[in-house]
Amino acid sequence: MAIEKLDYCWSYLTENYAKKAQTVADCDRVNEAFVVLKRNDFLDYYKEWYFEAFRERFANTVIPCFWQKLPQSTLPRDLSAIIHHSDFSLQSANDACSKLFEAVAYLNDEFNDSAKNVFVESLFEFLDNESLTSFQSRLRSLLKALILSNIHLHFNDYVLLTYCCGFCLFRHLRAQEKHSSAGNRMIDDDDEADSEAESNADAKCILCDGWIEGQISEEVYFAEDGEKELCKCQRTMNLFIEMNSQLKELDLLEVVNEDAVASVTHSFIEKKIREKCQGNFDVLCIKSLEDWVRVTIVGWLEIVYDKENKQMTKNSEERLIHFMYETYAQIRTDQMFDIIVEYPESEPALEDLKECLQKCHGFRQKVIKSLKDSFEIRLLHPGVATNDILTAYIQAIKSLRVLDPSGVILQLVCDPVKKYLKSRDDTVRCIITALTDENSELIPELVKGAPQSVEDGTCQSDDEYMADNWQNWQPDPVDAANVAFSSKSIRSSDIVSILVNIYESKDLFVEEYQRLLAQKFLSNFDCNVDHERRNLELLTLRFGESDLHACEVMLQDMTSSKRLDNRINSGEIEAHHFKKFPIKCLVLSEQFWPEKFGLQSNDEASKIKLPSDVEEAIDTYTKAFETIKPSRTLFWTPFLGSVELELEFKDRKLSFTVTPIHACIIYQFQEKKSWLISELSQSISVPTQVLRRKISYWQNRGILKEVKSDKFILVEDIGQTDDAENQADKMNVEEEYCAYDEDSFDGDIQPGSSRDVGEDKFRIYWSFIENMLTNLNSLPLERIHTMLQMFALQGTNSNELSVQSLRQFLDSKVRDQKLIFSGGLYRLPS
Amino acid sequence: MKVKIKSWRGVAVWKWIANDDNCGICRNGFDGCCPDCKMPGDECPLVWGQCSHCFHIHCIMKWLNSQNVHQLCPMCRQEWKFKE
Repeated sequence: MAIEKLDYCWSYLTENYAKKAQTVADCDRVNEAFVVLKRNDFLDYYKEWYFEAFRERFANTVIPCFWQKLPQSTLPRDLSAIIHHSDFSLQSANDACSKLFEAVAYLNDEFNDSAKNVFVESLFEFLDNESLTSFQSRLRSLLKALILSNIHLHFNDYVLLTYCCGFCLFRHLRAQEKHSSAGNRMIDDDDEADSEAESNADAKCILCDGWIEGQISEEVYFAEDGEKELCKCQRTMNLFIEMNSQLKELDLLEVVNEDAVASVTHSFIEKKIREKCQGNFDVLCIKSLEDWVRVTIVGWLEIVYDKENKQMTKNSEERLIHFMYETYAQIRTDQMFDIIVEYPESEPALEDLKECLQKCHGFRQKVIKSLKDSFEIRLLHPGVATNDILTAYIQAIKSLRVLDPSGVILQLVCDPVKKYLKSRDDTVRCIITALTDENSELIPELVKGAPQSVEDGTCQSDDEYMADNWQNWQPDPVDAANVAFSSKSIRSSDIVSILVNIYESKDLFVEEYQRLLAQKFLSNFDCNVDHERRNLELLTLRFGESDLHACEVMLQDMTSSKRLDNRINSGEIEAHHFKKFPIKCLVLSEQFWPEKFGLQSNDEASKIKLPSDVEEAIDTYTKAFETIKPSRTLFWTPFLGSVELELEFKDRKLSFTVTPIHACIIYQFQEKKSWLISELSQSISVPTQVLRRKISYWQNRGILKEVKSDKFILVEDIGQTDDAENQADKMNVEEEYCAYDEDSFDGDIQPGSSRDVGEDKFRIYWSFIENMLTNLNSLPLERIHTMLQMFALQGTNSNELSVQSLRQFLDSKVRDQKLIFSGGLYRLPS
Repeated sequence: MKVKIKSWRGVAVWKWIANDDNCGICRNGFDGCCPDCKMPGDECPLVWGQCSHCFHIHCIMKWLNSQNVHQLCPMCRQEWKFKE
């Protein structure tokens, strides 16, 4: 009897557990059945059976059904593109989201049916040793296990898409809210992208293309035919929120969305940063970005995770902020080269990056590496002009000082640049030119620079420096250990000093400056001496007076020559009775001018024979000089100078300013209309190849013409030439030409490169080396160097002769077969 | 064609007319200046003795001032007298 009753109750309970609609009568019957089970101690069995039945039902029916609701085909095909552009207006994206909503709702319903029905509830009323909630959580774990063990690959795509969509909706709705609360006024905060679009007048939602409720006037609403679809955004958002709470209910929330939330937040943060700082360095944005993350991203997280879960959002907030800083630093690091180039406009970007570097560990190394690499790729190769490298170097110095006031990054990054610049021939010249050019940006640097001489970087030791500034002392950054200890100066010294220190010796600069000055003076006799004097004074503050002494004398020569000219040409000196044309002279103190006056060659025309008038003028000038300055005389350098000429033709007059050689050539054509180049060469004692070069100046002006090879004639009448252009010029009575404009000295004034001068210096040592090798037969390089230093180089600056340059010199001698090099030893050929 | 020279500007170096290149006292060139001077030429002139030796004026004055008894030319040890 009892068994039959038990059997009946068991059957009733096991067969009907899944039925939904329970009337009160049903509940009573269930309760009765459980009473019978309890009496027979069958409750535990029923519980286990129920658990098993739940498993079977979900594994075989519910979960397959759940997956069926999420078919792969509903997913938009170009999923990644949609997520990337956050373009969710597409129907397919919406469909996919609603599929997921449905599926989750289905799962939730099924679970509630199975885990919260009257059977289970009644069961646990009778059970004492276990509570309902713990049983339910067992069921949840089971569900989780079942879902995860059987997860479909595209499920993650569904989740990702939905969360992306959810985020966009959130941002969109928030902007809309702000917009409607602010009226039609434009909103100028971070969500400008959204609010801008929102302000278009047709009151249509940009996300779902539906009409926004409350914002459309009734006229519009009723004007057109058909049903107006209203904006679905809020509804979708509600569904999204509901789905999250359902997932939470099922204890599936974090399992399902963890990856998706992370990738959505990260990708949107990155996108936001890129939007903000792509090619735009002149706005501080790290703070506004941080606010954006705190408000928008974290606001969304609060919706996803529910507000109660404060700890969860708090943790992710800190993580996201850090992520934001790192992403920002990464993006800026990649743009570092452009930031440097655009300094000082890019200063805000540098300030931002500086803050990031303080927060993100390890980014200093990245910045250094990336900059070094981009310098290597974009700057340090033969295709870039030295000037540009220098400019970039200066920019780098300025901007990296903002980034890292300790100067360690600067030093690490700029070391290769410095080394590279050192290897270029024209660096010195470029620096000096930049320093002396009136319009150069270095001039203010030169002016403002503390009168601290270039080489005294070591003079003021760190200790002394610290004694004055101990309150501002900061420890070195950790990576300072990588920096050579001795060269602390680059970190603190000013830009001009850094530039000059590229060579670690100021001699080269002084020499180059002297040469440059000489060339300037000799190519442009009326150059602005006052300006040069100012430059010289500024440079003297840095290089010291003794090194620039010669330049001072050069300047002095310029001014005193002017005075002398005025005095001699004023007629007060009796000896100067020459009146045909004014003769002026630049009287130089030879010892203080660079070798060959800084010109490359002056041998070729040194014997030039000047016209007799000029010779006479020169003689009287010399005599006048001798009377003014007793016991002194002048030695002229006839091929240097400038001559103003006027050529009188039958029909026109032309004026030129040319070099003496040009003048002599054209002078010869007065007597004879045609010259063979060899005759001309004899007549004025200039070698033919030089002559040919100089004649081309007159040829270009249409004054001389080569009729046969080596035979030149004067073009007396313009009509003689067929040149139509010259015909047109016929009417121009007076024309001004300046030979210096086009071919000043015909290339004679080329930078006498410092290397050549170096070789000249070695020539002095050559006799030493020869004697050394005659006596000692054969010697290795180091030995020669030491011996030279011992004997020949005493007193002189030994910087001048490095082993490296000696080797170059000796190798050049080997090439000339003056030396033999074998087995590491140099010896003289027998 | 006629060439008219409107003006001629030349370049020349100046030198002392002396029978030596260097000052016997400071060993610097005559065309340079003595160690105490900055500017050559007018500011650091040469003087000749009757013995026909010549020196930077500053050099020989220094030398003469350091001699207590006899003022001798440092080159030839004759009595130093300025050439008129």
